[in-house]
Amino acid sequence: MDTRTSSATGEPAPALCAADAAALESLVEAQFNVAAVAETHRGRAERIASLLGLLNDVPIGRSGRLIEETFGKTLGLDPHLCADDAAALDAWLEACGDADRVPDALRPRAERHGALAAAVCECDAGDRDGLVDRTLALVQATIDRKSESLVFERAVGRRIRFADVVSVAAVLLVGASVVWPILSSVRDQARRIVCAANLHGAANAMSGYASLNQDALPMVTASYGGGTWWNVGKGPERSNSANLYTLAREKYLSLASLACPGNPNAPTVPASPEDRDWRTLDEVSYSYRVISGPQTPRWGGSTRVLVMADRSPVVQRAVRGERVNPVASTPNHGGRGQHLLFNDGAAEWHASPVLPNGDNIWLPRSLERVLHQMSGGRLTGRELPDGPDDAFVGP
Amino acid sequence: MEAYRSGESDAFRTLIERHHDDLLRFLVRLTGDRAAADDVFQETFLQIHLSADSFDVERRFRPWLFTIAANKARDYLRRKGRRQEMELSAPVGRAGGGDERGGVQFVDLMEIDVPAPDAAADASERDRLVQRALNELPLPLREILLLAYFQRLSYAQIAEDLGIPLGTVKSRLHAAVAAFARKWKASQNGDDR
Repeated sequence: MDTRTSSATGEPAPALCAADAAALESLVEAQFNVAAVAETHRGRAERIASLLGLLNDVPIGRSGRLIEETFGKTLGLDPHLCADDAAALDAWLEACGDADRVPDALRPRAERHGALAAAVCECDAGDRDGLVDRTLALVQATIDRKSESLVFERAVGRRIRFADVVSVAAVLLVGASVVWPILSSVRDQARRIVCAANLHGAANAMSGYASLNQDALPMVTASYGGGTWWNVGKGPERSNSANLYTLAREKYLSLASLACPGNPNAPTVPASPEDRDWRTLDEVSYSYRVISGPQTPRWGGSTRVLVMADRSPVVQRAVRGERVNPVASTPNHGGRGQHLLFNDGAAEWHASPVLPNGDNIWLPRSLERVLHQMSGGRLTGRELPDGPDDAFVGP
Repeated sequence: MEAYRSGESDAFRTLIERHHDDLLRFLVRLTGDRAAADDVFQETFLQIHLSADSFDVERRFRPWLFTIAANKARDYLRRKGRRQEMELSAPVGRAGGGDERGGVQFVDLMEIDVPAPDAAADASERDRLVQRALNELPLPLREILLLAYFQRLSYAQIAEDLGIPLGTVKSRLHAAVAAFARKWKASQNGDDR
């Protein structure tokens, strides 16, 4: 440690040695992503990150009153109900909106609450049949798309001759070569429709989760500061998929809604109600935004970011130590493309894992740069997104 | 819902018709736009169809439906960029008739001219003023106010459905009613704030 004199106190002031100062600068430049720090500084950068991590361990408890007061002030809510109106509102609601069941002393005020509620609830609901029919048509169209199938008419029976068998066999031979790709395509199309519906369901679930958690993305633990996030089933603090599994564990959706039909190993019901994660990497159908603590984007936030995608082919190979192709598409849909879900609730089909802005969703930006510059670099499962706008999903 | 899940397709029409009026009114009030309410209504029932298997038949259907509808409406407003934002620096108007203690403003409903449900001749004007007052509320307050008004559930039930503490529901709903009453009063006076 260096010592210099503090201008304020005249006491020797501590200073970092040159190597630590350089490591700190690199860490800040890398937005506190240790993995993105140059090898020469990484050891010191890890120690600095650990030291800074201590600053986060402040016991603050959780004050509902503070949250509510802040909520109220943020929304500029100065007026409060007077005490009698507040008591009347409580009594009126407890009586399920029936002012006659409210104690006499509060009844006149409860009736006023009732009148306000009636004014709000009464508005023209319009043409019933038109909207009901349009809604049913929309649902039916979705059902029809899912159940596309080919119908073959049964031949009317008569005595079969050898010539019939030969001609049928010939027709089948020729027909199979034509029909098989069509059947295969219909099957793929059906899988894609179910998968897209899964992502819409996940969007709805995330929206519900966010509304109750200050717009946060589903998160079981803040994994910022290290750890290998592709250790599926090895404990929620070591697995990014456990963050996504939170939606099923907390009943925002069923586990079946997180099972892409393109993944034959995906479970549709939990093996145990106590489960907090899928049990193996093969069971995971969807890769989820790698949660990076303080830089995690919000659901519906001002910056549009990717939150979920069909499972990554890169992680699957990297885990096995195999060479990866960062521009390969998910195996869920035969490598033809993948569904992506963004934090504005939009689910889209993309033929390439590279977004229009050049961001590869299977890799953090730091690794993309390395790959561009030196055709090297290896995914280790410890990388974090470079920032809130860096699309990076796993496992 | 159980009938629909067991394959009775007519049950879905029954579900939509049963909740049509209340849900559509709720959505018109929440989005402030009839066409948007129509779209969100359809999206809501499509979601109900897609999520039918995940519905717990031990629970009540209506709160589930309204919660999904509120989520869809919130997403719609976000997409359209129409989320209401309060001007934090704007001066806050008096409730008119409310007393003031220690810098806190109190609304007294007995001193506010609440709308008379039987004033049919003024129905459309009243409807417009109510919508204007609602539109001026921040979305989280509008949501909780409408969920409480349309569902007529107890605090405990609302807390259970929204998954937030009972005390929080209470304080937010009190704030929402006070803010709405004040906006209503202001809109009647032709006061924009």
